[in-house]
Amino acid sequence: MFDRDNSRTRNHKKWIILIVAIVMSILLSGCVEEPKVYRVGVLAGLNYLADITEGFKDEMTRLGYVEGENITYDVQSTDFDMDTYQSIVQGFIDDDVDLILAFPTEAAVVAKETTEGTDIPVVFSFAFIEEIDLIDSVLEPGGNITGVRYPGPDVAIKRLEIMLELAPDAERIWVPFQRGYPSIESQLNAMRPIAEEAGITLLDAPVDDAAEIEAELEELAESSDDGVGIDAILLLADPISVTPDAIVAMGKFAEEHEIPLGGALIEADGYGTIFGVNVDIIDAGKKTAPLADKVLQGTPAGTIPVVSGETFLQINYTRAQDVGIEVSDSLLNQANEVIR
Amino acid sequence: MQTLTQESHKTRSLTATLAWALFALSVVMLLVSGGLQMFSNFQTQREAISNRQQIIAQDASRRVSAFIQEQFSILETAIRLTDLTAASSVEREETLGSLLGLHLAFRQLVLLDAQQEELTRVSRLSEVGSGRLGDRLDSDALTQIRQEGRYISPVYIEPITSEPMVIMAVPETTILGEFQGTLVAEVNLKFMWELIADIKIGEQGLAYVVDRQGNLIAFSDVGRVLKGENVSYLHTVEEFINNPSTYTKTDVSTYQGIQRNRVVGTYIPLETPDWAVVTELPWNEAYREVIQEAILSTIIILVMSILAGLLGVFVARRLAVPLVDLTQTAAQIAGGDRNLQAVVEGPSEVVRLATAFNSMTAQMRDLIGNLEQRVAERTAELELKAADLARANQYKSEFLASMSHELRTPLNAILTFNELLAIGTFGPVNDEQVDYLQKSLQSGRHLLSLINDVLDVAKIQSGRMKLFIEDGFDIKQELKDIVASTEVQLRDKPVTLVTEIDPEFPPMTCDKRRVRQVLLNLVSNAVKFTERGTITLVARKRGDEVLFAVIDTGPGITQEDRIIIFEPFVQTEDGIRHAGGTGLGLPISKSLVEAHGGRIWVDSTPGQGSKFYVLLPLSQDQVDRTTESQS
Repeated sequence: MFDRDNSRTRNHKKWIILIVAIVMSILLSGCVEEPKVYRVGVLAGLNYLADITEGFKDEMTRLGYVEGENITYDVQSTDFDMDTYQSIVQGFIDDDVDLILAFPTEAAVVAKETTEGTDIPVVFSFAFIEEIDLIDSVLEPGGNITGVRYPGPDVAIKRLEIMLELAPDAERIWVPFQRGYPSIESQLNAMRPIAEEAGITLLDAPVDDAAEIEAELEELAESSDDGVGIDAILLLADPISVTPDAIVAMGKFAEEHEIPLGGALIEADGYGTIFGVNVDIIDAGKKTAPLADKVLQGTPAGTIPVVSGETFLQINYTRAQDVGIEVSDSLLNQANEVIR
Repeated sequence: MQTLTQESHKTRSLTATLAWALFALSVVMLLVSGGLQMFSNFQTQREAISNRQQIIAQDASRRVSAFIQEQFSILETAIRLTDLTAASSVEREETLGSLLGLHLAFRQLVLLDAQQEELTRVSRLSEVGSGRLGDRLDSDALTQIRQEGRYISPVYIEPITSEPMVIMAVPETTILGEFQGTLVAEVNLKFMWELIADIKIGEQGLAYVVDRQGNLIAFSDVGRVLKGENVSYLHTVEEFINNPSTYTKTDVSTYQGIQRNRVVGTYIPLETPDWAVVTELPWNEAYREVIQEAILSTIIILVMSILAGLLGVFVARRLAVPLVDLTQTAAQIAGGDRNLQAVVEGPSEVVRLATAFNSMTAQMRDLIGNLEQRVAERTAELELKAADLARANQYKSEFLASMSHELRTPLNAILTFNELLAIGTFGPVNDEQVDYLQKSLQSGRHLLSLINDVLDVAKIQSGRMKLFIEDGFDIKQELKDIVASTEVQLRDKPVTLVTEIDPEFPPMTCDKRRVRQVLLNLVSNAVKFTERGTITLVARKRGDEVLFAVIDTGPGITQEDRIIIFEPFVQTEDGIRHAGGTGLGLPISKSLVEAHGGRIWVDSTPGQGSKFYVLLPLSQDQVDRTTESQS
């Protein structure tokens, strides 16, 4: 009889323990899962575009990725150094980051090539896609890559059209660019038909640095009868156009000879350009964030369509007046930003 | 005690039954009340969600409409303030350029004259890259521009960027309404995406815009817009497609949303353009309060159930423990400890029960005490009577044995003298005298036989029957003699004697006289009762035993008679009718067979005959050479 009572007591205890365990497991079920902390490697390949990172981070924060809490960034900056690009990307691969953000074009290309064979996705920003082996198509980029494109050919054409509006009598336009830079050809190819239709000669000038620019310009001036040899200097979207020394060299020459210098709006040591057609850098960074979000949430990067960056027109009206360039009201009205 | 334990395994205890009943009652009540509360909350929340979703969707639709209206307003303002078609090309370029700078959504602006010839064009991007907008306006569009004052084209995808575009156009007319030209704008709808992305619907809700064909126009996931995804498979989008633009949805639907999760959603049609804004809120978020309340209610129900269970156990124990004690006391009393008394405590009903139980056990003790005394007295009386009876039986047997012996001695003398007389020892006797002497001898022998039987029974009953076991008894020869004498008896009867004697029948170890007596008794019974047919005598070896069988085709023996034929001094009616006698043959045979360690039995069908079987051991190793038969 007593054995039976003991057995019954034991059974009651088992039931109580079981019920308490179920209640506790229900109560504690939401407390055990640790949130994943994503690690993003950022290859900032050009100092001029450093704000892309800030735009990207800001938008990622808005999307719920709080730095230090559920995401960490390993930002590696360099200034157009292909070898460094590769070692940085390799470092990201060794660290097994969850995603690589790379900009501009050449950094994106290196990131794509170096990560081939790994499962690390690449999201690019401010990158040309024309005539470069970066993506298959805008809608289906393919591989493990997607990003925000830089509408290079359109921007190049628009720069040329505005330059022609500012210097309607121009016949020879000097076009310096970084020697060997991958996106140059697509820009030149886009501009050539326009120039031909307008009877303009585009003088291609591949250079490596400011000194070479200076030398090239001197040579042009010396070889010309009127001491200038060119009617305008048009910058392309490439590293040399945002190098301060190069801007100083070209700005000094343009001011001295009262010819327009434009394409990308930039100032250096009191010299600068009179207009710029470009993509908003911070906006490009912001546009990259939703793509990164989708990738981090599991969507294969190669299936996410490439987004286009938004172009805008800036005019430095003061500098235009300084070099005696008249800017029409129509152009001023079109400008998204006018510096007076 | 054992019975109680067994029953406790089969039936649930009172404590468990009460505890479970209280627990189940509490749980059912909690579940019903909790369920009703949750259902009520769900209905209330559903209505609230519907209202909230409607408000959010209307706000979202106003934003999208405002975006479109803003573009139209800019174009119409420019047309009203400036006589564009009459202005110089410089003025026109300035105006259109201003418009281009005014809003990033304008990708391209074109002014057409009354004949649809392009007067001026400004573009955000290259002139070459942009197509001719005028070519995108067909006759229907031009008619709509002139008649309705506004036109917005279906959405188309820009081939390079895959971004959705629309053409918006407004007419320029004189003050008298004369048509002068058209201001056409290519509007990039991606600038609407931010509006949509900025719409806050709860924490994870979202909004998107679709056209009448279900194509995605604006959505926070721009990749899907760029891919030109058609989402007409979604429930609300399907509703929009199937209903006219004047139809206003007044409730929310639950369905698989655009992000493949379960959502509650609704839509608001814009009318112009023919789009709809769809808002979706994840079901989990929409019903979070209900879910939280449900979880809380479930936890409360669980906790209350546990408490109810514990309370049930407590109450049940309080009620049942005195009963369990009473049961234990009853079990111990049943086990023999009759002096125990139940503990009188607990609820009043149990106290009354325990008191009544104690009273009952007291009475029972008295009764049992009296009963035991009376049983002891009766037992003593019976033992005395049994002893008297045994003694009387002993005296009877001794008397019978003695009397039989005393009877046999003069009877043998009479028979001897009769035989001597019959053979003429004492002088010649005539035939008539011989005949009388023979009848006298026959009667005397019969009397001697009866006396011998009585003597045997007396010996058996007094336990003084002795067997004289001998080895090497050739039963086959004995059987032949029995057959020979039986055939003589059957001379005048149509009865055939059949023998089935095993030729390899081995010699037996037994009291041969008694075995012969048994077999003769069985065969002579068969002869007496069988009027026609056969009598079969069977003798077979069966392992270490021998089986004798006497099978006749006589009248057979009824079931009732088969029970009594082995009882001494009992005869069946058939037995009395056919043979008379003492009825001692079979009881003596039974005693003799059993004294040999064997067995005798009968199998009979009335009207068909009887089969008597005797099974004897071949050897008598386990039997004393001289042993007493058992009565």
